[in-house]
Amino acid sequence: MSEKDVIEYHWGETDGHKFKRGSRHPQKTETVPAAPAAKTPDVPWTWEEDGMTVIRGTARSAPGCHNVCGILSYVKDGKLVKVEGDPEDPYNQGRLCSRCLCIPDYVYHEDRLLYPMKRAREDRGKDKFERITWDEAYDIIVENFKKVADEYGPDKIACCQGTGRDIHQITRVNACMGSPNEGVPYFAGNSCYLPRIASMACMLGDPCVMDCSQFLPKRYDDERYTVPEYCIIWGHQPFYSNADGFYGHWIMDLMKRGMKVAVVDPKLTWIAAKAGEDWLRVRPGGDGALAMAMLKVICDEKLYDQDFCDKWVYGLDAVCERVAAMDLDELCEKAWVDKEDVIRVARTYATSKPAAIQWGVALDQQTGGQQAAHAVTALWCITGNLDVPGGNVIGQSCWGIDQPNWVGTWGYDELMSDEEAAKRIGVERYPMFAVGFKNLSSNATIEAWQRGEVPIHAAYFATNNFLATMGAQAEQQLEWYKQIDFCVFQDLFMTPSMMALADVVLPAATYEERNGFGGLNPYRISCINKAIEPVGETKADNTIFLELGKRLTDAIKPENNDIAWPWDSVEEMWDYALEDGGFTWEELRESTWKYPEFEYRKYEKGLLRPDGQLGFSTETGRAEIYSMVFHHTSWSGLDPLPSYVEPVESPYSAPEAVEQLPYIVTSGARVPHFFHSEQRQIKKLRALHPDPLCYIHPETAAKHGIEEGDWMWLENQHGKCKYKAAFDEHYDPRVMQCDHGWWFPERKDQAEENTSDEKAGLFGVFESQINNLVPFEAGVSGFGSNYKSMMCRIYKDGETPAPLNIPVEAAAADGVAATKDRPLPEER
Amino acid sequence: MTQGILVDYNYCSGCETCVVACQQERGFTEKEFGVTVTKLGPFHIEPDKKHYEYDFIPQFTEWCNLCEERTAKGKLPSCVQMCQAQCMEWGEVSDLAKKATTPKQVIYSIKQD
Repeated sequence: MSEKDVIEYHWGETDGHKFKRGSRHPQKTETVPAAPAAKTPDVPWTWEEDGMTVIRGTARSAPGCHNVCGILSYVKDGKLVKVEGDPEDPYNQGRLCSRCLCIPDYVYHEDRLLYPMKRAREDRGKDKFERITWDEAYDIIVENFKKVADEYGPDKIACCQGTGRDIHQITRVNACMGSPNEGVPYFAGNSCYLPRIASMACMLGDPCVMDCSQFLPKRYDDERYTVPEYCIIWGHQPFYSNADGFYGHWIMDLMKRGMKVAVVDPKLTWIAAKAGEDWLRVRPGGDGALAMAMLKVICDEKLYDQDFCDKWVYGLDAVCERVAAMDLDELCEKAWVDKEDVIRVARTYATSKPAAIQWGVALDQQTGGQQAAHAVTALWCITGNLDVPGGNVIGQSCWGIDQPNWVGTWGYDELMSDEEAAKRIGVERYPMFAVGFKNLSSNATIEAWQRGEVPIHAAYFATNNFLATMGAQAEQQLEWYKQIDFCVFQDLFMTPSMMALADVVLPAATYEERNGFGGLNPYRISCINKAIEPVGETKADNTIFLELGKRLTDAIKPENNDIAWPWDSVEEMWDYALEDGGFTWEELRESTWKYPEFEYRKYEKGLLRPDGQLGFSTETGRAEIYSMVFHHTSWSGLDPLPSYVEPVESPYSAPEAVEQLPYIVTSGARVPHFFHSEQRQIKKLRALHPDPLCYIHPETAAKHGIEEGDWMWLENQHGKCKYKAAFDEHYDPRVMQCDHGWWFPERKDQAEENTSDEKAGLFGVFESQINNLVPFEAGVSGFGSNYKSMMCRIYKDGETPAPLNIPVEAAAADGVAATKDRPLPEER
Repeated sequence: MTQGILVDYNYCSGCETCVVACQQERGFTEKEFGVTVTKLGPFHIEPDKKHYEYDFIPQFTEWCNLCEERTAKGKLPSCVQMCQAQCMEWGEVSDLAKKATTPKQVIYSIKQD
């Protein structure tokens, strides 16, 4: 059923239960008794120890993180003393990373925002904030959002978020006002996990994750589990990134238990060194070519699981035909990998049982990211590693509890009319956004700004510092965002983005100061358990949404008053959300975590389709490596078969630029101590990684007179940035890598003294900013942009090279033309 | 009797959790640490092959007291418990020595009773 059909029926869905829109408070009268939770250790959630109160809980968030690790918080006289990993928690088993260990330093940091503030619009960029009360803050927000809704329509109010913080209820904030526009409008190509998730959703009906026994509370001791023989770590440094609800050191656990690894990475990481001959030093942006090469080897040599494909896979013949026509030498040459290595890794993967692939954001952050994800997903489908122990397993939200907390777009269906929903930015232009995803399309937004339109008139930025982290060509984007009539920012510290744009500032609380539940994984529901009272006047993100949401509904769309926010407290809101699991928030706190009983091979058990039939939740009922969704939307340029798309600016797609831009710079690799742009002000963590680094081959550096530790510039037609050189002779000499997310909180004096210049007080955010070099263009799907493979030149700080002669305007003009000429969908 | 820590540096990922776990347990500043992590390599051991040595090795300083307050209560030293790679073990050096039978094991003798 298309999205339009769903809306026409005027039925919404919450946690799998349908109810008629607007007819009633969404009470779940159709609930079936919940399947009981799997047995886990019976442990108390609080006790006294050495004069301290210990509180057991899980950590997420703020600060941002994608995990929900078990923690013990030690509190003395109402003050947080320390945090430890919880040895009883099956998730992290007593371990904890440096960022969580530093949480007391974070909670009590001298720079934390403690009160709501306001600032006149003409003073944006200047430190002229004024303390106000929460009531005043809410009043100003309601007044300004209502003004925009009345003048331009509620769809011109956008709720904007970042990653890693438990704020998914924000989708209900925009929906309660009648705005379908929520997302990451500054993040070209929605390039973080969404390209992979959307591809898997289209192909399989559900997303997959590598199975490290994390669904099973007994973990490696559970007899249902099998350790993978082989794992391909693709564009991923699991130990430092802990991305997407995946605790990276699970990979280490499996290596200790005998799992061998292959690693696809331009960098010789620690785990790449352990892969030995199976380290594939791919060209940044060449992952799609490599994926197609591996698919070709497996198909040409008939190494797929014929029996599994006959029963469960749709499109094997078509895929085999597609790859048979491709040239393996050419694919390997473009991927910059040795053909023999590719053949060996593909064969080993196909013949190891089970085998898994654990992938990272590198696949998303390229023009052809969605297509590469399609090819990689096909690898685990055709080799029969789909939803089997130790393979890539389908993860669904626990007991259907997802809308307020995970992938759901909570409130979208029940709080908006079809006319309102139709105003979602980009839903016509990029049809993949109509399939499951209810975010706005970033690239459609960027294209609107480029055409001189103003797609957003009021913006609510919760947990996002986009000038430092996500914003391609952030300085250009700032010029656009300055046109927004009214901006609210909600965060823990004064960030460059907040300093640049905020008219109202709302101070948020950390996970130690709030109740909640996690979140962002399909393994279990776990309790976020308040250990201390909020510092200053800070409030939890979720509390702010509830309080502000009520006021916004009443002012802008009062017909939603009865169903939008019918809860008196956050705990009551959580009780509603958790009802499908058959437990309340208090009961969750008693047990700290609840695991649903996990099933492998769900397609054999009728557990994936809404109709209860065997197979997958797809049109054909099979795992569609020939995607019917892409087949039906191929008018938009989507390809039903896996393919390889060269990055928009690369030595192969823009060979004429190579003479001036001989290098490729990649970015986004994590360091253990920072979550994107966070933690730069935490002294213990900053001491472990004080400067923004560019990792570069010493021979390349020598050619430009750059010595280790020198400051150097990287530049292309879009912009330039400054980094400190760190030598690494294991990169390809044509490739380098820059840290991302850098700003300098220590330059706060500069910000405080700045009362005239609107950029001088932005904590140096545009200086060591690799995103200055990132083009805006996404792939045909609207997903995947070129954050990982920018062509560039370099020079030592202090030198002035000749100006570049690469037409950038022409490309932008083409982009606009293409937008206008793009065919619109036929009547569906 | 000598107490110490055995590190299996086949598995240290260099995450530096131990450094911060120690600082938080002991109330240190960013300039004090009972343990610090050193990078070994990456060295290209056999130039015609992809054979690299790339390891991280925690090293203990005089600030380390083996978390005597924790261990007296039956807990593990902070670095050992929080270690994400679970590659550290605490105990009597003579006992640890019996376990150090494979390559890339290092025992730090830290404290004499």
